[in-house]
Amino acid sequence: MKIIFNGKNDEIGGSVNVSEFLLKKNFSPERVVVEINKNIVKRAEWNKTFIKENDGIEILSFVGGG
Amino acid sequence: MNDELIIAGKKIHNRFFLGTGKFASHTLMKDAIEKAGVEIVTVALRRINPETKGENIMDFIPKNCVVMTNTSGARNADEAVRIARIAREMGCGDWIKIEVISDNKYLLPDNMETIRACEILAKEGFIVMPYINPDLMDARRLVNAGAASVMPLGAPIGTGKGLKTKELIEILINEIKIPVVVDAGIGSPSHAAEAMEMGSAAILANTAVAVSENPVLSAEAFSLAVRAGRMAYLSGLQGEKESAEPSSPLTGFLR
Repeated sequence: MKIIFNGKNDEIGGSVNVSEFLLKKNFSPERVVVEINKNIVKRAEWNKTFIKENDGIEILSFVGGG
Repeated sequence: MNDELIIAGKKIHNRFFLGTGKFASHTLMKDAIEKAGVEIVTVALRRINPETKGENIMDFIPKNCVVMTNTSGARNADEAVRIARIAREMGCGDWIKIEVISDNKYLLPDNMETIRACEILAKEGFIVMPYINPDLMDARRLVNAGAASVMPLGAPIGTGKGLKTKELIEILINEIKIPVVVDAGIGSPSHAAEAMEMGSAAILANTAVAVSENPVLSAEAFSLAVRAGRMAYLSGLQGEKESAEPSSPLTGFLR
């Protein structure tokens, strides 16, 4: 299934929920925010939110900045 | 001396705010924050970088610090608002430094878009700290829009040129009733002291500390300079005079 992950074309094997996606990508779920199609997916909804074809997914975290 | 800075109900004892960018390591950043007794830090929000999955910067910021997310990367108000909402969703709190920049050469902020973002975010309960070109009219608009402070630049980000906008900052200090926090261009503790002597409420610096040879020492120096500048301001210095005035008595000379 084609998706756009952090601005780049990507593929995932089948429909996964957000928690599973993070696991696949090896990202630790603490301190990240997930957006799908520019909408924040609340942490409580991660298990229930499934990624669909052509979804734009952003995984964001804090970094140093002035 | 009880000289607290209060922003949005939060009592701040150290008027030196520190940005967390450009440090050689998170550990060094943490040491600088702790040694200087910094209470307010800024962070940025970015797409997660697979290369640096290991450390999380938030684990290196002392728990007592207020973490203020900047909206760096935002080119307009809508992008700044999006970043602020994401930061809140991440549990970072409500302090937001609005930074809206579409000029890549001088990194000068877009005051108009900053005001627009402030209007939206203040209504949503954010504690808005807008980074701006020092313009009195825009500062007044930000006060009306619910900003918690105004943050005029001293000089372009990372240049270390000091208070190039000194006279405009002085106008803001004289006319604007919310805290004026000088941010950007501060290259040395003496710049920071100078800004505080003028009556600034606080200083935000990042590059000058992070890229110095000894950031921990540099952060401590800045913290002391900000404190010295504040004390100098409160002491009511005479300022400059055109003609000389002797320091010793004019009577009883040994002649």
